[in-house]
Amino acid sequence: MSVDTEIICMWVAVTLYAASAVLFAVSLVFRKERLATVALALALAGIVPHTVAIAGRWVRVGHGPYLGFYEVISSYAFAGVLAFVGLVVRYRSLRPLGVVLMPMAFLAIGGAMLAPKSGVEVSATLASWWLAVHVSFAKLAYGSFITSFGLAAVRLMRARRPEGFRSERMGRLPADPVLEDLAFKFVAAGFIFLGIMIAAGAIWANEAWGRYWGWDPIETWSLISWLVYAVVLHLRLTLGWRGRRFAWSVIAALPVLLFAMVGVAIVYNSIHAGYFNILG
Amino acid sequence: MRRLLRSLRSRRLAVWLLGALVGYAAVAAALDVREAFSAPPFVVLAALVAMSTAACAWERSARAVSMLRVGVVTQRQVDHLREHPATVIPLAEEGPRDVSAAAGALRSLGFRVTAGERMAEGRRHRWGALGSPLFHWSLALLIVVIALGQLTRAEGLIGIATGDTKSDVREAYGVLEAGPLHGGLSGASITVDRMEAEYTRNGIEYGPTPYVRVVSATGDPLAEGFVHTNAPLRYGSTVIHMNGYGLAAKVRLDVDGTSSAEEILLDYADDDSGRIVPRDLAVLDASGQPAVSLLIDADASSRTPALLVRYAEGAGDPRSSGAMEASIAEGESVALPGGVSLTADRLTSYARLAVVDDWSVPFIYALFLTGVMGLAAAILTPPSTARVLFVEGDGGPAWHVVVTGWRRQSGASESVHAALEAAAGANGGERP
Ligand code: HEM
Repeated sequence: MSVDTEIICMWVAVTLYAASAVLFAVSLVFRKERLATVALALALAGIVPHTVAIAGRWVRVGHGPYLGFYEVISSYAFAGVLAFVGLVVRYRSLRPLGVVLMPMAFLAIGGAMLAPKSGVEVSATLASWWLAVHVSFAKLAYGSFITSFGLAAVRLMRARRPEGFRSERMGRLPADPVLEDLAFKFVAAGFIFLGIMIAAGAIWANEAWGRYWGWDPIETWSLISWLVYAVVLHLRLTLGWRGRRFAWSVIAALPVLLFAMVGVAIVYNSIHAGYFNILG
Repeated sequence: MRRLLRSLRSRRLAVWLLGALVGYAAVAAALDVREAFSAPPFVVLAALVAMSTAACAWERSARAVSMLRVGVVTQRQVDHLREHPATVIPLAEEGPRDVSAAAGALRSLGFRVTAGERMAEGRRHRWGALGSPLFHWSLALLIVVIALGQLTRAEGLIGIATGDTKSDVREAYGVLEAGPLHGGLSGASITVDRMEAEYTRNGIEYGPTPYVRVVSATGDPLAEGFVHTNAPLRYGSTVIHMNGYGLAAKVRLDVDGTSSAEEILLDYADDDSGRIVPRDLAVLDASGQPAVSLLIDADASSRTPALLVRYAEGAGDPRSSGAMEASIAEGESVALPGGVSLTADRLTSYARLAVVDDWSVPFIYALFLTGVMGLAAAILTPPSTARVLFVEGDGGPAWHVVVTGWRRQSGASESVHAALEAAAGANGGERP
């Protein structure tokens, strides 16, 4: 598939996601249940061209979507939308999460479209199975943490305005303990995934350079975010935090993770910078 | 000692320690000072985390073992439940007067139950209780092993010209960092048999790639093979990586009739330009005064390598515009001022190898693996316990109930309570 077809597919996906995001918002504000169904259908429809674009590119450049800012962000958005749709199939009442997740997905790939789209070659350093393990678990980890964030956010929004104009819709979400349980499980799963990602990165660094850890900024910040989530787990498991306090701790942890994920590549000139390089 | 152990085990301390580690690492990372991670405050903090984690693992292990011994309920637990029930479920007038219905309810929820007349105890996923200690022990050991590994690790860069052999001894290294507890180097001989100019495997170009052979100090072959990125050579606890390559020049300097051999390793610049980084060399005469100052460069682009030598008399600057220049190919000589002559005996490539001796790496991987397994067990099979005691108190007959494990699964205690409440009114009685 040519670059042009890929870009057209991507723009179709961006448009569908954007429309879905808008409809989710409208359906929540004006309490139009049916619109949420349409919004979900649009999200699903967006996944199709997005899949085609990613798959076509995979075949063309010969490696998975993990090299360069455009591929990385687009695949995160893809995984996010897919996870959201999957979650909604299981817990129908979680549909209002779309108000948070779809704009995130739309903004992410919209932003990715502005980055250079030329393929990054798989260089000698990148030619390792550990890279595949490393990036897949990174995606799983980030996806889990972002989902836990969304669940905690919904939990807090409802607690804040029990009588608000959105109360009826919010009331249809699963009960607080269920949301909380899910948030906790996603944090725990994300913690495992992030741990595996860090370990795979260390093994890979050891294979490539002979050192498993060099306190490179991205390594350090990944470790920091891992420790931050260890604190979140302990707050619940050892200090017994639950309810809004626990939800706030989940919210507070995400910025650290996002910084480790995108911020570091922008702020520091690290060995990983080329990998995420935003300026091309 | 016991006090120390108790305070280390404090759950609040653990959170504070982890928080402190986050704060310290964030500041150090923000300022990008990597030395901060080997500085005393960090070492002390890491040691405290390790001790506290171990203390907690110890406590968790004891709890896990007691969790595995089904059916042992102590009198203390019974008394505690009588006096401080977490929940009280009143029993219907016609309802049960023992705990058999409660035991049934727990069984139906997948608990493994041991029941007497007055007390029933159910445990679910009790093997999951091993997960937490396994994880925390692995983590504590991981910190210890990493620390020991760093103290005993040796890592160095060694440049070996194609066809040459060097010994794994201190003097052979250009850069060597050996931990304070590291013993001597092995003395094994490392040979670069040949250098493949364009090595390609599975469609990926690795560039110039050396074929390396290692023979132990006693003459036993240890390992051999091409060494390139993501494909190091291993033997024992040692790993040899490709680090870089360049031009090696074996030159001979004749000063006033005395001849000395010199090996000059010339590196390519870091910037992919293909340029060579020139080397300075001062040649002293018999009285120890500078006879001539050289700047040795090479023409890296030509097929037949040649040394480009710029030189100035005495302690003059060979970079100055007044300096003289000569080009010599392999086997050629050039006469320099001060009665010095320079001969290029051999011009070839060289491989710069990173030799790392670290026994701890496989242990680190193994501990990580057990840690992840423990963590997964703790989270996927959350252990929980439910105890029910039949009490005939002032408020009428009731079940006193305590459920643990809700922190991993908030729904757990709700579902247990719902089932027990149903069982409490099960025998046709009205619920008050
Ligand atoms: C500093 C000393 C530490 C203490 C005293 C401690 C204590 C505990 C305790 C009591 C639990 C709850 C277990 C349960 O509910 O059965 C727990 C869980 C957990 N801890 Fe720690 N911990 C420590 C260090 C760490 C560190 C350094 C990490 C990771 C960076 C960590 C990660 C976890 C995780 C992921 C859990 C949840 C899984 C589980 O239940 O085991 N802990 N910790």
